[in-house]
Amino acid sequence: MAASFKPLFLAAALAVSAAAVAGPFDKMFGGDGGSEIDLGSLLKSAKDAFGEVQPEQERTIGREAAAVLLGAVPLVKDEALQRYVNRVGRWVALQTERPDIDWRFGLLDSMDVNAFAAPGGYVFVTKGLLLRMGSEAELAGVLAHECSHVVKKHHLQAVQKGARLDLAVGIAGSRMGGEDRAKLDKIAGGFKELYARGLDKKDEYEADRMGLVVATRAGYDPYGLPATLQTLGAMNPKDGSLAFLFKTHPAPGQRLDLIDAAFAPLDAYAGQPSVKDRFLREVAAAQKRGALEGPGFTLNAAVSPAAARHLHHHD
Amino acid sequence: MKRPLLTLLLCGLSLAAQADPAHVIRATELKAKPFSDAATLAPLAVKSVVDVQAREGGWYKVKAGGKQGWVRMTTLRLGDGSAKPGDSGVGSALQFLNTGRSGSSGVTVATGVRGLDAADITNAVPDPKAVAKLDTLAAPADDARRYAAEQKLKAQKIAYLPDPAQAQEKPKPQTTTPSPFPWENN
Repeated sequence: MAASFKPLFLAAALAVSAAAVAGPFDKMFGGDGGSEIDLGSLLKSAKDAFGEVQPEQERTIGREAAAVLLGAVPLVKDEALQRYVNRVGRWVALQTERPDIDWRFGLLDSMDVNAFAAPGGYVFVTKGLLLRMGSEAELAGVLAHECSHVVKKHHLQAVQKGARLDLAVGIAGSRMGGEDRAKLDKIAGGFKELYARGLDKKDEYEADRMGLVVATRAGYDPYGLPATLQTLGAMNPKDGSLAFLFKTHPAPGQRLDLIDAAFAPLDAYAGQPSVKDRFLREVAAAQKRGALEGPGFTLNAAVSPAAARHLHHHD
Repeated sequence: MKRPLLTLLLCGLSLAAQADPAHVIRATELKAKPFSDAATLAPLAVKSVVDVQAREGGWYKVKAGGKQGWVRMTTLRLGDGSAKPGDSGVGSALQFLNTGRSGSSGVTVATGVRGLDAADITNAVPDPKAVAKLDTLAAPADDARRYAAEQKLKAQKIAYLPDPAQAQEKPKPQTTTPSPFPWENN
């Protein structure tokens, strides 16, 4: 572990020394101050050498990426249900290698079936997906998949790789305040493109494998994520709520095949709880408050286990 | 006094709602209980169709050929098997369309729901206020731990799973490292 911190530290040290010395690049190590330095290109070379973006930069980038998603789909206006998702999500995230970043979870007000992550600890799931789940283990599995994208910095790397923006450079080049709209716009543009296109398949498969483990580490039945993928694989693919997911992710059957091939070590944990009751209680309560209905959609027991409970359980 | 009746009604309805066809993708056995060493009730061949009624861990409770029992989740795929998912997103969606199959679970919401699409994202105006709202909804770590403990969720130490695709690759035979000086490599 100690070794893996070193590049980060070096990059940080470079950044600090660059700021302090502010000399030309070739003279920098001589401590010869005075004239202007291109901090941007220095950081770019630091990034190329060490592949690291500073945590504060990642956070700034992530906030803008999250703002894009929330600009496209608002949050469900039900604080109790949002807190429920945050409690489950935070517990899951505590089992990752980045337990202490400021994890934020949001339930998106869309019947589309999907989930998203953004750098720095932002994770979103749509109510369309939540309503098709039957247990907290399924929710934990999906959130753990998204947390894994954050832990592995898949989005950050995809945006950097796509040369979308000299992201790290642009941000690090100045101490960015909220008023630096041009840079934020550039970041937003990069993430719009990325979210519209989706990550590489190999990133999705990796997040599946990691997510299974993270949810199981959290004490849940390891079959939560597979159960959700089974449900998605059996849905009518003509359903408009699946189109975007299918465009940006490998097919559920394909993901299940690869999960099956890797799953064996988790079988020992198959007896862990799936926490069905609490999940259905929380979701059904939100339905009772009218938080989940929307235009063009009527809750249907055949679609949603929680809806079945809500519609037929008038207590 | 109303409760038992309601519960019965609820059970009946939720069973009906959850009975989904599934097809066998690997030859397997119908077991009397959800354990590998439980008695075998019947063999199940590839492509046979069963009715899934419930899930318990890695097992589905199914009805197959008039018998009720348990089958490993990994040997089944929900759906009757008439549609074959392709390997890529759009392609598979098109394949599904061609079969004209109507899924058992999702068909009822198909009408009227327009999903998200790329344009919704591309045309989005970033909403920083909504991001700030997330901060007010966040769960502190201790709160999350307490909430997990309520359901007796216990943290486990488990290593990540190796990538099966890479595990299958044969290790490359050791070769001598090429010299950085071209004239030393023939």
